[in-house]
Amino acid sequence: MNKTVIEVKNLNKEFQIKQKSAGFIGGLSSAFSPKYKHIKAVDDISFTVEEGELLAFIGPNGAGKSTTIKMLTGILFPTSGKMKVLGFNPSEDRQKLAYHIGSVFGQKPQLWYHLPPIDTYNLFARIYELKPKDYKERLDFLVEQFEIQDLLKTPVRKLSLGQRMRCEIVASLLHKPKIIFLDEPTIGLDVVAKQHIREVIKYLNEKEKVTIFLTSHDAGDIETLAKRTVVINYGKIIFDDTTEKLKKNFIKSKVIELVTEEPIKNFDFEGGKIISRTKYSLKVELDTAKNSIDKLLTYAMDNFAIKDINIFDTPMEEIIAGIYREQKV
Amino acid sequence: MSLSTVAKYISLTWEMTKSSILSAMEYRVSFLVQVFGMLVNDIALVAIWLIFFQKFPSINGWQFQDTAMLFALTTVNFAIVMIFARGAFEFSKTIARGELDYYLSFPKNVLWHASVSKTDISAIGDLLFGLIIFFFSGDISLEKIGLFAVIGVLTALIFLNFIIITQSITFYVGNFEEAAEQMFHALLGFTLYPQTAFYGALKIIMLTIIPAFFIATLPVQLIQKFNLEFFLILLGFWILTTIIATIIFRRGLRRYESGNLINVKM
Repeated sequence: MNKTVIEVKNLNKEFQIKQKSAGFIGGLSSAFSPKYKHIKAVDDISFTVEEGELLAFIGPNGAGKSTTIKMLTGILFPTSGKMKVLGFNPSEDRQKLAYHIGSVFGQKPQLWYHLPPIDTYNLFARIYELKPKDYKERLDFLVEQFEIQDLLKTPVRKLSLGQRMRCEIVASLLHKPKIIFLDEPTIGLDVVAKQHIREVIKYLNEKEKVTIFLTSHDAGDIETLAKRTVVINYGKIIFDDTTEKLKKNFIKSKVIELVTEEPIKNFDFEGGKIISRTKYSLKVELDTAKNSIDKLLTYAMDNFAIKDINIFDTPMEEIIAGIYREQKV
Repeated sequence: MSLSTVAKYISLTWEMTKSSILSAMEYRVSFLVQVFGMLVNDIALVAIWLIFFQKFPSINGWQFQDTAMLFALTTVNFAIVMIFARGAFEFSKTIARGELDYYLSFPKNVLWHASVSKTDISAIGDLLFGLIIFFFSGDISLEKIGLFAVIGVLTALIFLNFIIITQSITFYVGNFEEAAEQMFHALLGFTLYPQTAFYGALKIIMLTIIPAFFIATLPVQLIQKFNLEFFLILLGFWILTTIIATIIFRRGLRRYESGNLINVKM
């Protein structure tokens, strides 16, 4: 049986937000008698994560994903509740815990912007107190796995977003963390770069047996990576089960946009519902339970003069609405 | 904290500073202008005092040599803070923007890490100036050089504590950036003039909220004429401010609210 590495029980985080009426007078009165609103960013959540799991923690903006990660890594103190990460209480043993975990915040780079990645890596090796021999071996290994040989000596500001993200992940792996927290690692990346990062994450989990705690609001990340998904909305966990179940019950469709050279006259494909059309384009919602994307694409290529194709995942809001609908039933 | 831990932190401080200087040296022209620009700026300031003292040789017994020592000490302690711990000077902004997250994800003391994360390149000019002007502050002996080094570091640490305390108020009141900066400039202001010019209410301020007495007046006297009792007072003041700074920062950290601004480590 696997060991539990993250244990969260009745965790809460409340923020106090100052409220101010509009205009100068409003500002003046709030300066002298401030009014506060209490927001529950994380509302009584409980869950556990086993060693070696790849867990997706998803939800729309402001749902409480980052707040949860920040509490688990010791950055934020919880308002109440209990947590244990690798046996440590993150609020009390932040420094000790930090030797065993890694974190990548898609929007908060760790690499020094004007320096090449190798300089930051050398500095991190000192901060994590790695032995020079171990560090060299580890770095050589990661550089090869992540194909960053040519990027090592280029200042970070000159790297593309995808290249930078690979270098960021290497930075957080130098000390061989047992758990890695990835907060929106694919944010802002193009399709190819996203795919590259997903492969890297998969590799870490399968080959290095690193437990991965991933947040994203890209349904594509979750579908391709995680076996288990936790959905959080307004600070509460509303779904905690296999990704397969989430897909089967709530990610039932994809939206495909077809742009053609000539006007589309007859579109007839099982499971495909037209949701909008112009003279030279068509947006189709495809029920993936009834038919597959590749079949739809073959059908389109055979029947129309295709100029461009775009595929969209089910928006997070729709997945959440689906979960709520099911809970009400 | 054991001695080996202290040694590790000191060596890491040097590594961090080296990285900051390397980062600044990516832009050579800007780097050189900052360093030598500050040196020229400091020399111009002391030149004005030189002219002043030629007209009025003494203010309440304070002479040009005293001003030279005052400038040497205050530019050196200021430079030590700005070269090695410039990050502390930006705590207010760092806290308000949620940028402490970065430092909190490392296995090191966050107050140390956030402080040493930045270097003010122009302070290298201040340091050079301070060391040069020291040799114009009267008779120089080996003992005086030693005292200058010890007191320079000690007053830099007091200076740093003052910055940490004022900047950390942001944890409690939301934003204290400008107010903290104003207090910092008030402190600098007190260190630029003959220390015998301040008395009465101003002296009380210098002993308390704006502790210029412990950064400028007392240490200058100590270097000119050593007195164990006064040295112990200075040492005690450093310990006291260290305790206050640590408590204010630690308690504040519990109130830290993070943030989601997109930022980069420069």
